Amino acid sequence: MAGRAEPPDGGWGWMVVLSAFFMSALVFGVLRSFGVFFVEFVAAFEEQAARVSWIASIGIAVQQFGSPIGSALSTKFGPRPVVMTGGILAALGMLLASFATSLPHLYLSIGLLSGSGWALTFTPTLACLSRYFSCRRSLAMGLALTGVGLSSFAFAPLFQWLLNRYAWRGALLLVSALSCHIVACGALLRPLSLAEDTAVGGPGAQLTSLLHHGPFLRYTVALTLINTGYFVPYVHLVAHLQDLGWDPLSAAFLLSVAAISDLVGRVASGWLGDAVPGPVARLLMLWTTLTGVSLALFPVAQASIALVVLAVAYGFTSGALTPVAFSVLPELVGTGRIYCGLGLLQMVESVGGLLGAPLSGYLRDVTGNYTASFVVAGAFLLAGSGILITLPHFFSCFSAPTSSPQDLVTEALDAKVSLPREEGLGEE
Amino acid sequence: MPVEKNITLESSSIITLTCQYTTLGNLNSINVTWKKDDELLKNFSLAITGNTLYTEYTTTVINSKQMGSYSCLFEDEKEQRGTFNIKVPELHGKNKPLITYVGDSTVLVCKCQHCYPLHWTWYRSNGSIQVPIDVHTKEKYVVSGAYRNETKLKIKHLLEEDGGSYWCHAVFQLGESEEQLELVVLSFLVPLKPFLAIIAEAVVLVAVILLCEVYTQKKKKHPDEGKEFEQIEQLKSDDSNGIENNAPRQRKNCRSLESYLMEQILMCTRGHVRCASSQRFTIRARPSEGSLTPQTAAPSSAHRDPRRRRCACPSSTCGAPGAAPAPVDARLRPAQPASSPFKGGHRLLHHLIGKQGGERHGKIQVQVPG
Repeated sequence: MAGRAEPPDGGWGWMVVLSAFFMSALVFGVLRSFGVFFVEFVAAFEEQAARVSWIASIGIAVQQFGSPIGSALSTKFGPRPVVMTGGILAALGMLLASFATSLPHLYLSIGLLSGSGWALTFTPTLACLSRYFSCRRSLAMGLALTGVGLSSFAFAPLFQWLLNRYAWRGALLLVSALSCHIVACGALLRPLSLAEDTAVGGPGAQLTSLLHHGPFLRYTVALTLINTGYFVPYVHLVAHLQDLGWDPLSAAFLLSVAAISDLVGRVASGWLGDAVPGPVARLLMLWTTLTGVSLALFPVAQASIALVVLAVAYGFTSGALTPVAFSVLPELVGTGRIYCGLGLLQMVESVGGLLGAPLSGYLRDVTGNYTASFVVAGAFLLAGSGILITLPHFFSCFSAPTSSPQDLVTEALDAKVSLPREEGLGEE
Repeated sequence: MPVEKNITLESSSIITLTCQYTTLGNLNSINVTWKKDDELLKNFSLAITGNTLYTEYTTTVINSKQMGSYSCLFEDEKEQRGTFNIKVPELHGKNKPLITYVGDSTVLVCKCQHCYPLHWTWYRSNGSIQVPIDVHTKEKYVVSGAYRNETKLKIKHLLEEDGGSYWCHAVFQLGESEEQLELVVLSFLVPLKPFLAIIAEAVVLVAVILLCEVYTQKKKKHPDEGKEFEQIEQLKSDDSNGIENNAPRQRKNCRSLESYLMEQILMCTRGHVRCASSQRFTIRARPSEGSLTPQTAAPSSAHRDPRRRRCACPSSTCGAPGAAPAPVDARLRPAQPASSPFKGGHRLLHHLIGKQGGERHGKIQVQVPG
């Protein structure tokens, strides 16, 4: 089964962008807006907020640690059946959760079941997207990932309305129905066979080859460090603002401003990533450094204007680094191994994400304010961006193929078919 | 403008109410009275200092009969009045109705901010009458409260009839305060209908997407099969005469690039054809993302190869300038449709390569005249 030499860079790829947009909305948008349910759960089960928030933590952890499984299955069966199954699992988890009578029931149904559904969904879709594009990859990624930001805006009020009308059981039932649309997103993922696929082998072989791939390992370390610092503002910014004396409404407004600039940053960075020549890793380093700097400056800013500017800057740069982070990977490991690569990457970088917020909370408890937390988070980001310099061909204008399976295939395709030129044809 | 003051009292106490009235006129001619809700009171004191008239009334509030509005009245040209409203603390709770489902259990909460009632009682309203709730039936109702300023009513095994208005009364020594709570009990059918509607819509969406794909793939396959049959025959016939094959090339119906090139190779290798004559042919794109389409007459340069321009310093697949794959790539861009159609992907190349026994067996140059 020989495949194309080049990703289509358009055509059906745009439908895949649409699918990825809705999928990231339905996975991460739901996760991010789940906070509105927590208040209800606390009242309904008479539990503490900390115990209730474990629901989301388990869900995120299962989604990230389960990513390699989703990737391995996608390599074997193609992304479509895997994502459709994931959608069914996610919806089933929410459905069962609506019948819950105790908190552990919710841990299992939302955390474990829906989490594994999301694990089978997120990574395969993004990997499939990066296979469909090469020259417009960053833009496609940026557009697809705006789904997360937009859905957070839409879902939070929607969920609140559902809760007011149907209480949490009915609301979970309807969120389950909403999650069924992940299956529709999966149906859009037409399998694409690229020429490198035959050369890279099955999931086991890919995983082993990835684990021996120096640049990939370095990139994983870099992203883990970046992930450690990345989520700190989401968790602690509101508390930090309240420490400074802001009232909750203004703090929430500032978060909204940051979210909007996050959206703009994603699309802008996606477009920029394709327009600028050279390895995309350089852009990633730029955005990461800027994010680290703006994070480290947070404790220094006292005036409202400065804080607003910093929030906008943080939003823009952190949004900007997201699509680029996903675009660097296909350049490193090739589109043949992208499924397994992305899965492995997600799993390892999740360690950073899980450690980051508690670490900064601990620093805050020890020092009494958020200065240390923000500075340390910025330091993590800068360290991660430093490691990015060690990626291959960082300083060159052209990046030659770095992995041998690609060499194999490029030579094979060297059959020069110089077809006769029509008038007006031929730039080479 | 009425002068008023609100006083909240929970338990019996002695209170002293003071009014002062300042005027420039003759203070002695002012008639001062105290009233409680319209009833005249006695035992109040009067004092004059400078321009101000002070009056005081002291009373002991023991039970709810002493609660109400106390007023001091000064009769100058107009009547001036100051009012003290003495009340028990009020309950302020959220007004949102509580939504629950049949079979569930729920908790109704009443809280008082800064007051400590003697005890709480719960009532249900049946129309306009409030009926006390029998809290001794432990299977249905449980009253609890962690602190004295709040109370919780837990209702188990909800039924649809349990919906309605509930009242919590805070009982003080000096009176009672009440608050209304609304409970709505839904059956599971209520959210089930939108749930099923949305699920049905998702299923239809999936079916439409998959059917569309099956349909477009069928359209792809059927023309292909017909033409391949033709090509095989063509090959067999041309093999023997080996003349320039203008006719088949310029045929307007679809032919796969694969078969054409195969043919040319066979004929070149067998020496049947002068492989250097200037033959022209066009290959048209079939608009599917997987198809191979060389560039045809492209009037606007913008269509030429957008990818090449953008990827000036490209990612790995674009390759360094002058790299071998470039000519192939240029021809492999999906382009705009033009004249006579050729179909096919570059499966041909793999076939050719395959025929030579594997990917690593060197390069094959197929020079078709041009």
